[in-house]
Amino acid sequence: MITLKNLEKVYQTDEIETVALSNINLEIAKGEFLSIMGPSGCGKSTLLNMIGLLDKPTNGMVEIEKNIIDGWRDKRLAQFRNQKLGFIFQSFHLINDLQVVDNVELPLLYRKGISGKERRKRALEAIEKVGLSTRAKHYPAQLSGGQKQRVAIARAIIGQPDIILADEPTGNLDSKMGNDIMEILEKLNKQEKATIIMVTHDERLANKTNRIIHLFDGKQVN
Amino acid sequence: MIKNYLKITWKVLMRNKLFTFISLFGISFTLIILIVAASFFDYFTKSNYPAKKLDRISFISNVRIWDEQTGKNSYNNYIGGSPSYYLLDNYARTLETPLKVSINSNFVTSVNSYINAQKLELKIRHTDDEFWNVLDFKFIAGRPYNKNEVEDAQQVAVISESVAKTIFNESQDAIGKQVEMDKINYTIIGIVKDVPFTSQYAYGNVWVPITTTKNDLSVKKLDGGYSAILLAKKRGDLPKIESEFQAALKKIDFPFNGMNFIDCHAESVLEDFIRFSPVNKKTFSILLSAVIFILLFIPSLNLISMNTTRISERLSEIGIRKSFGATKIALTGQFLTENIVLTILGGVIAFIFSFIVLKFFQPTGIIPSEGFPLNFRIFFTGLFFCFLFGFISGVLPAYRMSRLQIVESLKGGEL
Repeated sequence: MITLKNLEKVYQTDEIETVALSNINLEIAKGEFLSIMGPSGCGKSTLLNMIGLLDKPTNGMVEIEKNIIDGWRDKRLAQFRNQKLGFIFQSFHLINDLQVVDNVELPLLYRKGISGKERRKRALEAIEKVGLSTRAKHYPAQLSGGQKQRVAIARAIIGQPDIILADEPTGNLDSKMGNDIMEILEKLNKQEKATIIMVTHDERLANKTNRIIHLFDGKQVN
Repeated sequence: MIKNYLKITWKVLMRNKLFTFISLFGISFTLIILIVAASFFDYFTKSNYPAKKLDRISFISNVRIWDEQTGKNSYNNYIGGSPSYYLLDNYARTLETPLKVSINSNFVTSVNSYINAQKLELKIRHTDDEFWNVLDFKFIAGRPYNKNEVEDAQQVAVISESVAKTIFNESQDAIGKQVEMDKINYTIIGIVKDVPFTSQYAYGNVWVPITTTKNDLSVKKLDGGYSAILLAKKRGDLPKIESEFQAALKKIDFPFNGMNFIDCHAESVLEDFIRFSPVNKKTFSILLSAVIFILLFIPSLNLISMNTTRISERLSEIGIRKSFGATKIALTGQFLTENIVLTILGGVIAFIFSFIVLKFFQPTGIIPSEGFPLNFRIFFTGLFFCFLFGFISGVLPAYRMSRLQIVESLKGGEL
């Protein structure tokens, strides 16, 4: 489903060249739940950003569902992200001015042919899936960290993407909340057959996934 | 999508009330200046009392003549002023294209009149009978003087409502009464609604037949204190009237009283103003555009800077929207919508305050007591400025925002 070939990312300033990723080769199957682990600064998030098409590799190839992502223009990339990918971030990245339901609706705003009524219906369904039906009209500031992350998950799944990319989704949560979030992700993987790629520091959580990839200094070590 | 844009806009405006207040203040202040200026410009150049057919009217109110020595190319040594009665009577009144031509004194004569031991300063304008036909005075009582009364130099007068009230308390009582002006007794035959002094071609508070002037109208000279108002059948005839007038001027048998060249035109108030101002039409247009540009640009610059700050606070939102499929165009649209809504809000405030400012001008006599100059034309001009202002100040920050990398936005990078 996802193929990375000789992936490399180099950050270049006037004086310094930093190799963030080097020679990454990876095959991820449909429906797989994969963890990426490694110490801070080893390139985990950078790799996730490459897979999520949020950043461009310096060299190498990203192929998703037989689409080689190369030289795509902004509009095509945006459409692809909107339809195929869902994101969950460590710091939630909710829009504080919007209610939970409006935050969750957001991906569908950029998808053509979905009425406001339909968006609202699907947002409420997604919120229900993460167990936050009673908080739909709340604002992010009124929620706990765990609840915020559930909103972020609802937002990631509302568009029914094939791939969910989670960047340390439990990093800002205590262990109980972390476990709750992990349970939701496992459920999505098993019941909805979503392919999930998760960056984590937590070996305990990583062990619950199908496969673990280790990175060190931008290189794949296993 | 638009509903969502508006929803976000409202939230954003309410989130930082101080920013919103400062932005609205800046926008409103600029637009008040522009709207008031546009109102005055509109008032001076568009149909208004008593020239309700201004779009069909040409004026001949300025003339320049050169003598044999200086020649036409020497613009420093001309005799300038308003045309003579002779010039207008022979070369303007005889034109075939205009529907009507009126000749009247170009300036009002101020005279003191003593009525009931009360000193009253009157502004007298000498006009012919066509003056009442080319302009649309509103008669409160009585009538205008007619052709026979002008030809016979009858001492009759039309006075303004305020003069009538000052002298006779009740304006209706003035009809048929005598008023002494410049040692001549005139019989009041009509009372008209006051004319603002900005209507320079019609202003006065007493109008009398042109033939009652102490000046000799038969003197053959080219310059001399008069102006003509030419009413065309239709707007499109105005250039034709000017051409016909220029052709007529060519028939002047030069040298004329030692003068060799003449520069005189039948044109609109604005054209007339531009022609005899120190700048030419092109320079005037450039200057006007420059003033509007500066008036818009400086507050725009301020708003651009404030918008950049505001957008910087929303980098995470930008990153998220892009991650979930917002294109650069969609995000630019959203930020422009926010800015345009902000400027339109500022516009509404500006309209309310412009109304108050213009109301303030009314007692000064610059604009008439009725026919308030905030009309649909001004409204839509203002609306256009709002859009322009919103667009100018929003497009640059929106463009910079749209170019930002998603990862940078999510990390809260710099715009």
